[in-house]
Amino acid sequence: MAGVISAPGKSTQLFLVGWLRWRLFVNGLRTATGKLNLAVHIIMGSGIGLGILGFGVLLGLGSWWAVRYDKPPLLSGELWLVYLVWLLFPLVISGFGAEADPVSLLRFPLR
Amino acid sequence: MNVLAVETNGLCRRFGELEAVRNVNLRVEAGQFFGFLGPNGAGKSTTIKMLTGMLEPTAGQIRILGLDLANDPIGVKSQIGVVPEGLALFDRLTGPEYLTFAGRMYGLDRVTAAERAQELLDFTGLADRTKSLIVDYSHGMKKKLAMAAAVIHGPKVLFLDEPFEGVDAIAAGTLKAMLNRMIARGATIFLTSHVLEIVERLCSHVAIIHRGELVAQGSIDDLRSGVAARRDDGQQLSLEQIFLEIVGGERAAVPELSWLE
Repeated sequence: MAGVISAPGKSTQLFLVGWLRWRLFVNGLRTATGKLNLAVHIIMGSGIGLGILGFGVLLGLGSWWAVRYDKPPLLSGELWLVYLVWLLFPLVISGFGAEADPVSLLRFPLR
Repeated sequence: MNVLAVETNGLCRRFGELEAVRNVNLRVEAGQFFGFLGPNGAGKSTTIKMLTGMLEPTAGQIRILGLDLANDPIGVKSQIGVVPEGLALFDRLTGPEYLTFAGRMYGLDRVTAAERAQELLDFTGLADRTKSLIVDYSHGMKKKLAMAAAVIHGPKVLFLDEPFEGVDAIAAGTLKAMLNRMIARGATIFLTSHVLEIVERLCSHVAIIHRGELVAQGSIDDLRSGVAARRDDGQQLSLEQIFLEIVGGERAAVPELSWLE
């Protein structure tokens, strides 16, 4: 048999996983469904991005208003809102298809 | 003393209340073509997942080529090849992309990985489908590709979970040729299969697992003579008869279906 090869370093493996994700993305665009999916992701991503930005601006304005008009208890309401958003955010993000199942990489000599 | 290719001591795996694998002590010598048999749900895939570092044992020790898997998983994984249950391919890569990726993940440089990928594609008859995505491959083509990826780095031990399941005779012939070539070069092959005729033809040694426990282990000839001595009828037994004799005792108790009488 061929001699034993040493496992590649962390940086090489990270590069390869990045390359894998890129090829999965590019090859995914070869079909009409893939192109449509990308368009939907861009539109939804832009919408969500604008929503997050608007939410941040509103929170800032709300905080300014609570301090300006001497109503600090309202700040706790805002903090609860931020807390809830962080609970929901990962769920929303996970909806954007993870095509490369990391479990598939377990058989390689990952560092 | 020769280092064993695969050795487990007291290997156990629990899933909650279920003890899927119980106190398994395997011994596979280097260079053996080893078949790991058992009925559905006996613990074959769980064992192979543990042997390849894809599932952590609840208890017990695994040594591959003398290396402790728990202490040196990278060292072990560099020297083994795996065709897991379900194949674990990346459907949106092309065949050459996948083989090159696998080769580089095992530590081959870019040029060597590309050269070996091409050679493997030629050998497996996939060279005319280099532009197709894996998702568009047939089941047999996927099996051949998974096998090619498992051998691209020249592993010393090859683990195959049901390599012949759903594969036609032509593809099976290619796979068998590849495996025989590896054995001729000194590799060890550890495979699970339901196709006992293939196991009998390819493997020199087998182990049988039943309800999570190892119930037989040795060369096919040793098992044959052991079972024949128990039956005392002088008949030349096939592996299927040996298998049924060892694990199929309750087979006779299968009740009739009332509407099929």
